[in-house]
Amino acid sequence: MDAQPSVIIRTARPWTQGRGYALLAAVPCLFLAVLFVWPLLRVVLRSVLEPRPGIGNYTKIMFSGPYVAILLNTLEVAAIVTGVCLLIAYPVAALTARMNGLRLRLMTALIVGSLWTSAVIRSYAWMILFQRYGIVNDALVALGIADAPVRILQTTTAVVIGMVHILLPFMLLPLIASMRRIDPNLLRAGRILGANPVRLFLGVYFPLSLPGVHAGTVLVFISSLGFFITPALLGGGRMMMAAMLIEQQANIYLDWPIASAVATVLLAITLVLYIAYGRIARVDVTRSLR
Amino acid sequence: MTRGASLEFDRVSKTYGAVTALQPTSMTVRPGEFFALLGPSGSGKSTLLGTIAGFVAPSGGCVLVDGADITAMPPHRRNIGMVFQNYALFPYLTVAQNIAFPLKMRRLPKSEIAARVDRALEMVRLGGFGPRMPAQLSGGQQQRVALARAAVYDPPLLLMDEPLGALDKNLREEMQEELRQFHRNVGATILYVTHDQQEAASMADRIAIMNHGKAEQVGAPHEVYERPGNSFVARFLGEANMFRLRRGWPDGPGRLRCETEESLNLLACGATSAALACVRPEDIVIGPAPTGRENCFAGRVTDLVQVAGSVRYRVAVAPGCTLIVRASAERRAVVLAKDDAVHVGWDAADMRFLSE
Repeated sequence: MDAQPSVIIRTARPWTQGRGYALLAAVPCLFLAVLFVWPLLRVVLRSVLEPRPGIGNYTKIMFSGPYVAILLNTLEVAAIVTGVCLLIAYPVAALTARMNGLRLRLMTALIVGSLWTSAVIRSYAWMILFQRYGIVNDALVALGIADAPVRILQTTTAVVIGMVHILLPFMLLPLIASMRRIDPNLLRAGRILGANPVRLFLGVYFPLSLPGVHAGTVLVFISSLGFFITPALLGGGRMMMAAMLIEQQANIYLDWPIASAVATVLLAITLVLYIAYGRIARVDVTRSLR
Repeated sequence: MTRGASLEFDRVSKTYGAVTALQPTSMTVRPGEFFALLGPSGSGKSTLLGTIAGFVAPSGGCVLVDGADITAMPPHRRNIGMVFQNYALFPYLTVAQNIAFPLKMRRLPKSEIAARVDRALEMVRLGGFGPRMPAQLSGGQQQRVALARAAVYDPPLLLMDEPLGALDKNLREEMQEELRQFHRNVGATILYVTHDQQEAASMADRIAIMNHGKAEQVGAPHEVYERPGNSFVARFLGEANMFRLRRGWPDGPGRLRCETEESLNLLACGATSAALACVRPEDIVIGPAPTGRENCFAGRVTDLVQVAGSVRYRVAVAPGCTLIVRASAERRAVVLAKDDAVHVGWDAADMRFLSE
């Protein structure tokens, strides 16, 4: 027998920081896999496997019932909410971004603090304000704007106001962050090169704030698509959005396959819009967070 | 070629609350001149520049360009060019769009904008770089784009705020050459802010030395170097061996004999009541034998550093008095070493009197 000399080959991989981080990431990855990815996968699977395998649920959504209309309404409301949030948040963010010290901290506290009150409570508050004999209607009648109390609840207006109220911080925070990172020398350069205040805003300030606009828009739009409580409380009965539809199908009609299919379509629309937006705006949403 | 504008500061000052950034400053920059504001950070040079651009509202006084008071004019109407230290190129625009920006603001026809942008790119030797993004360019190239952008609308006055500050040493020297060439080409008056005395001295026609919010001295680089008005100017512009004078008395026609704090006896030209005198390191002769100059001292080498083309010695000549001596390569026939006993000397005419 040949006695081979034993050679010890050290195969230990050199330590890298990346491996340390990979270990740290294991637990959250497992958590997400079990409690998020798996249930999501089951939703998608149920939509094509039940009640019988095939795309029956999807053809039903496409060609019958109120599904398509409700999905379109959802997109419309989300777009309006995003637009209104941007219009309100932009000037506020531009002012806040110029603040320093105590005033900046106060402003940030106000914005972040508004997140501490739950959306349910705030939506109920709007219900009370908007009801037939509520403060808003009283004011409208007293001011002579309306002859008699008008219906505000169950309209798109009520839903949009309620959602903007809750989602505004998600537009403000990325906007402020990106505006604070604008190099003041670029604005000075714009001025000395001949840009008057309006052209300076359009030609320099606004393009430089775009990362924040993109991040805020994506955050607010995607959050709006899945909003449930506020549209349910302020629009319930007459005005319906996708999340309400899913809840209704699952809890009232117990039609879990259809609920799953609607949820899958909503997920697909969200993903497609997110990717398309990233391509068009050529931005990585995470960039504004760096 | 543009005709350079004249620039005049008339008692311009700036205070922030209790802090004085700029004391009332008056000076005149001639048309077509390359004028440098030289000083350490916080000396008020950038504040002064800001008052011309319109970014800093002076607390008092006024700024005149070609005799017209521009103090109240907003920056975009001043028609002044400016180059920033960090280039300040718009990152979302291409090189060509950056250069076109000031022309678009002036609503020039498209065809003329294109022609002018091309010419500006050629001038800074970046022909063909138009479609690139600024981030794809090196620091030196970006600075040249910034130059082209500042000059493309032919402003009669160009402000430069430490434009080479972010570049490494070799590139900086190359760019100095290029900036001088650029100045000859465009003919505009250039006001150049820097803290680098070598940079200011090699490029500017005249310099103003700034310190503590005021201009200490204004003049051509060699004038200011050879006849510094006070100790700050002498130290800031090159090196200087400084002597504090205790008393002085006439010694022959036009000669003054002085006694320094270290009890050295020095011979200088002229008569003065100044408290300080100085001699430049390169005016001192060093050797193993007595030098035969009017001021001659024996000493010991405590330290020496070889720098390109010369050697910089520290020579202790008296307790508490160490002189810096710079010997050029040709004078270094005899190589001196640390701890060598040496003689140093200089002429009375090389002594300069300074105020505090």
